[in-house]
Amino acid sequence: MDPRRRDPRRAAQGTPSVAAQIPTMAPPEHPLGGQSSEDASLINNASLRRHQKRRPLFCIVCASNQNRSMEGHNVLQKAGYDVISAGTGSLVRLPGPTVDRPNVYQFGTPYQKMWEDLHEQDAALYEQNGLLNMLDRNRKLKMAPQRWNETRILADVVITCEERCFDAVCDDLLGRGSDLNRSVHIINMEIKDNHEEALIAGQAMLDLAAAVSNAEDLDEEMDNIVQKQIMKHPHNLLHTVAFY
Amino acid sequence: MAGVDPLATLRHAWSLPADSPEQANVLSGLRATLETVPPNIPVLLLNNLLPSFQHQPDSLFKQWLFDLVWYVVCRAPMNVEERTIIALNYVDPMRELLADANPFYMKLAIQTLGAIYPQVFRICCTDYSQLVHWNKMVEVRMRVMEYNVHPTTPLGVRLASIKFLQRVILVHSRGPSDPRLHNPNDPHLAFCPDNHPFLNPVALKAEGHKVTEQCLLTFWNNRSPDVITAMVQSFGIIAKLRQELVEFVYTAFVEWKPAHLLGDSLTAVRSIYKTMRIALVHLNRTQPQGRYRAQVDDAIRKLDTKLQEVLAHGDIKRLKPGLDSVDATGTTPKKHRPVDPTILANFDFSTLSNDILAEIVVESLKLVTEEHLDAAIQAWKSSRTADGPSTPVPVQDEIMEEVVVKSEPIDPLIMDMEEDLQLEAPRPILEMEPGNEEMGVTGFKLPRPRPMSVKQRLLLVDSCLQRVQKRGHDHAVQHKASPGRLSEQKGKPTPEMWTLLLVRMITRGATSSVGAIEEAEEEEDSNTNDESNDGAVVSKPNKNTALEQEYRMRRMLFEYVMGDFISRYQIATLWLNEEWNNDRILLKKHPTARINYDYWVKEVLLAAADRSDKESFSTFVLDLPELSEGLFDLLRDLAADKARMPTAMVILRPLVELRVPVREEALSVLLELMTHPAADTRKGAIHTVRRWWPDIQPMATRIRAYTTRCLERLAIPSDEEMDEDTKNALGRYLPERVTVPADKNEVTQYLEGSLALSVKDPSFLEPLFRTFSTIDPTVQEAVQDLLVRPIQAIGPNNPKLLEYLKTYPEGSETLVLKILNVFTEGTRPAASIINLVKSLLADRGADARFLMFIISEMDKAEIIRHLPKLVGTLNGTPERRVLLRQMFTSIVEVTQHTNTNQVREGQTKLLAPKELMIQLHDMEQEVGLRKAKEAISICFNLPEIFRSEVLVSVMQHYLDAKALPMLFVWTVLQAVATYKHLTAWVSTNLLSRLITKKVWTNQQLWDGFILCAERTEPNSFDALLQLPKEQLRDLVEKRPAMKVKLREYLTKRAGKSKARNGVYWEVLGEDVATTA
Repeated sequence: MDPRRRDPRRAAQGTPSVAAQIPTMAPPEHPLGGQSSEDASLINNASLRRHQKRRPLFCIVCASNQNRSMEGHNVLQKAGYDVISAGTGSLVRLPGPTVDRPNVYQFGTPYQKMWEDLHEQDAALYEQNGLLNMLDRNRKLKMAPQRWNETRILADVVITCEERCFDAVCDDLLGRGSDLNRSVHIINMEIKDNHEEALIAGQAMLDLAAAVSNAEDLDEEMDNIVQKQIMKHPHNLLHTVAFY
Repeated sequence: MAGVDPLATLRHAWSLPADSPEQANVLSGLRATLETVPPNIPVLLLNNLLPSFQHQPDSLFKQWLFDLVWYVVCRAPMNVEERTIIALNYVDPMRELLADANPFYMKLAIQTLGAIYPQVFRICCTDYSQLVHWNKMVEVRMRVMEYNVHPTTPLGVRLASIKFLQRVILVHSRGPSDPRLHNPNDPHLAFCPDNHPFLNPVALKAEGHKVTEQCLLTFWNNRSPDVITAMVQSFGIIAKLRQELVEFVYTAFVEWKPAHLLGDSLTAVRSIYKTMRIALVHLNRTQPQGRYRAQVDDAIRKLDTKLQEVLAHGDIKRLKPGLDSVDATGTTPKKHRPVDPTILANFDFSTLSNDILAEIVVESLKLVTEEHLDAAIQAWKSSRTADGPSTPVPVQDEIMEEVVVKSEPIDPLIMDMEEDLQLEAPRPILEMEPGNEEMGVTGFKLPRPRPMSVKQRLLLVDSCLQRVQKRGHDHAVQHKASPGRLSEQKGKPTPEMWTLLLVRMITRGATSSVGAIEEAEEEEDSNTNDESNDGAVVSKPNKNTALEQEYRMRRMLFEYVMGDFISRYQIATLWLNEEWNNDRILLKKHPTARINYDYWVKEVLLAAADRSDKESFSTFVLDLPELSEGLFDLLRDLAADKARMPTAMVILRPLVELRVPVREEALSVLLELMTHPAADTRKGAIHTVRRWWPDIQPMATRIRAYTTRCLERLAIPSDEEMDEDTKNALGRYLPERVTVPADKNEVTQYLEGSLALSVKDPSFLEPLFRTFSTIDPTVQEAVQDLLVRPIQAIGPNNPKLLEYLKTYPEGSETLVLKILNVFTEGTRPAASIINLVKSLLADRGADARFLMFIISEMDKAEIIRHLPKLVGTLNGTPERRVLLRQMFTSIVEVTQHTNTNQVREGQTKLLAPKELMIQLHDMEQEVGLRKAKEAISICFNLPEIFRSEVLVSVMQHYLDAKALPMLFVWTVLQAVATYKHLTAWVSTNLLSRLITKKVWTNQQLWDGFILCAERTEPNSFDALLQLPKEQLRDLVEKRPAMKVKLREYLTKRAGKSKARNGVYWEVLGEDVATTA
């Protein structure tokens, strides 16, 4: 139902295998899923209750659109949510053979190409530190890392993975001038940039996404959702409402 | 995407089960497609689909459709002008959506309208005919402001409202005044001209302040972190775009206190401070030259300190909101909780929605015994009246206190008019204001009003009206002194809510439907004669008392308003608007219903015309929902009255500009008034009409057509047949035909409009040039007189006018000459005029009358070349002679006597008097003796120029010349006649010289010579005696009298010496001999 799900760029970038990985198009716990076939007028008479609910679009944002955001992208997509991801950095930085020699790519460089590059450089090293594995996962999700500032798809909920990204996202939205008048919830989840933390955070994101999707009125319930998330998960959260 | 056909996809979506996930998928795909195609395709889709789906129940498709509207208005790749034009089409559907119960649509509507609002403002700044859209926007703004403060507004809608109000604040504040920095996407007050007919920048700024204030109050008192962060974000944008509001923004940030926040979450406080920090850092980063840079940096530091303090508290304690901050805006619906008295003491009831609260109250009251409750209420009351702290009485007291939720009373003025249609529908619950001590309970609902009998209703209205009459004035004054009342904030036409109620009671309370009338008839059967009729005529006075009552009430209201129309006209406006609306409602139900509006509007207009001033009457008329037919006649009458004319103009102008349905008629009235016999009325109308030329259409075209027709009418010969259309085309003020001979005032009626407009645009004179030759000569004369002032105003350098002068049609020379005359009279002609006349002379062979205007600007050779033409214009009439005389003085150089050291300007350019005289003589063949003579005689009338020495030198010139002009001798005669002292010179020198030149060979000269000799006798005798014998004989034969004198002279001179004068004696003596 969300028109943005079929973003042309995603359609262009998406590999056929992506679709195959999605078990179902519908979210697992769609509260009103069953109602859609009911008599529309009957439902309409149920006054304020919204019987047609938009599926929220999530956007997971980290610095390089590689590890944390892609883990979130991965789990949310597998669970059937509408999700996109992006990075706020100026370049995509991956660990190199030493700390002072990172692998740097432009946003838009296909994951496939990075994988091949690293594989060629030192397959053993990158296999061992998990980079190849990560890139392999990423290339199955989408074509290439995307830069937040160039993303023009409007998300309902943006989940950033560290405060720096939260700042960058808010700052970018202010910079865009917010001419579209559309509100967006931005939630920062403080996650350390390593595979383990990303995995743990992925599960937290899954919980968050479920709560968001289940909400009858997202704006109304967002505060409670954030509160519950804090109780349930260890991550420090920030939450703001911004405008596209 | 090229392969996807949007229409086919749409049809496919439509064929799928409604609201199914499949349909959702197809629609979302279609939306993605539509975002990639040119924006006219979604616009086209919307144009076709929106009208039919607008009023459908909620469905996935409807949501999709309205989201597409949002896309088109906010995002579609179009330039701002296109976008605005398209967006205006969606204003009405979106306004309707604003009242939808579904928060999704409300949000969408506010988001979309938030983008339209600034654009409507922008186009209204330049296009004054868009008032209707602006009014809609003002209404939307009011609505959104209400949503923003209303306690039950869903949070999503509130967030959208915040954003909407941010756009409003941007519009209602002043951005950069430099037009180069104006961004059409971000219009602001500097876009609005100061003299705008309906946008007043000062008032708009005040409205902006009001909105800002409301936002600030929300910001400080709201308890929802989401609302706060949303406001921080929107304030961030405001600070970025409006330098003047930067200070306001950072101050608001710094002064914000987390105390009011709902929930004790550290996260929320941190998020808010963080968001503020981001906004301020962004501000300083994007505006490195900002005026408040240092202050903003300081504010950032303060925020950091505050955040540190909050963090230092670690697990922040929940700050219980004080009871003073009773803004219950931050309502998050909580699930039902068991009413457990032990936790109530710490529970904040103001966070609950009203329904739940009511339930809690009822449940709690069930647990309490009646005595206990009474005691509690008593205790509470006494504590309130004593103004002391409330006595700590049980939990219920706490509840009572807590539930005093401030909520805005619903103003009946803002209730949708449509609601009134359903008189039986339950009214919205009127909640009591918290100020009402006795009833300070929210749960209280007003019972539905008891139905009243018609008689009761009438009595109620009667008493109400009487009270109004008694106290109305005081109340009005009082009310105006207390600003800030809700009704005033709504900007309604009258601040008097009860006035409205009264008016509504009168207009529709009594017998607003046929059913009610019948009911009234039955009821009032017994006491029909109770009420004294004040003599007014009612349609069926005996049969229908209800109607009579209705009439009587209206008459009372009418009399009241007319008692002091100037200060009560707003009531009349309100009343007639109500009548009109009510009529519409009744007509819908009963197509044959009686119409009150038409009758009363006529009554009020007629009566008010004499009892109003400009301000009240014009405001009243312009606020009428429908203009009655008689209005324009009334306005004509007003315009004819010198004192009331401005009122008529003040009304007519906006009618033409803003009320399109009556524009045609109003414009016709105005145009006709331009030809009114009264000068003031004419001038007023012309002044009003002028402003629409040349840009404002369609008025400009009409003005042109009308003035052209006026001028053409002047040229219609009096015997030509005119059809009815032509006769009526100019309206009632002009006679069918021009009176001949012309009456100047009448000609002015025809002409004044064109002349006044010609100053702005000389093309208004064009018909005059075209038809001038066919106009009656007396009218022509009048026209020429009238032309003087406008022509002076246009000036000689207007290219259009010059063009007309250059290409004037045959027969309108006099007009052209008149205009040239205006330009050259008393001053030297401008370069443009010289060029014009030169080209006329060269290209069109214009006659010499044209020459006169520029002759003085020509050089010697040119003057000499054109001189014969000039002289040729003489026809014996004094006018021409005067003209030529003027010219001679302008082309002849007067010898300076005073100071020889003075630089003689133009000396070489101008002719010496002598030269002119010689030229005149030389052209005698060319122009004919008669004209040359006339010209020379003009010279003799200028003795100060053609002094005797000049004449002598001229004569000398000819004496030295080979041939003598015919007029020479005549000139000599004139000279002698004018200057007696020349006689000596003429008689001796000149005559002798003539003799040596054998003057007798030319008969005419010879005759002249004789005449001359006769005039100058006896001095001429010496010379005569030099004549050869034959000639002397001829002379004496012609002038026998001279013979005697000559003989005497001869005798006297030489005695009788015949020998010496033998020859003469031979001639002179003959006669003697014969006579002897």
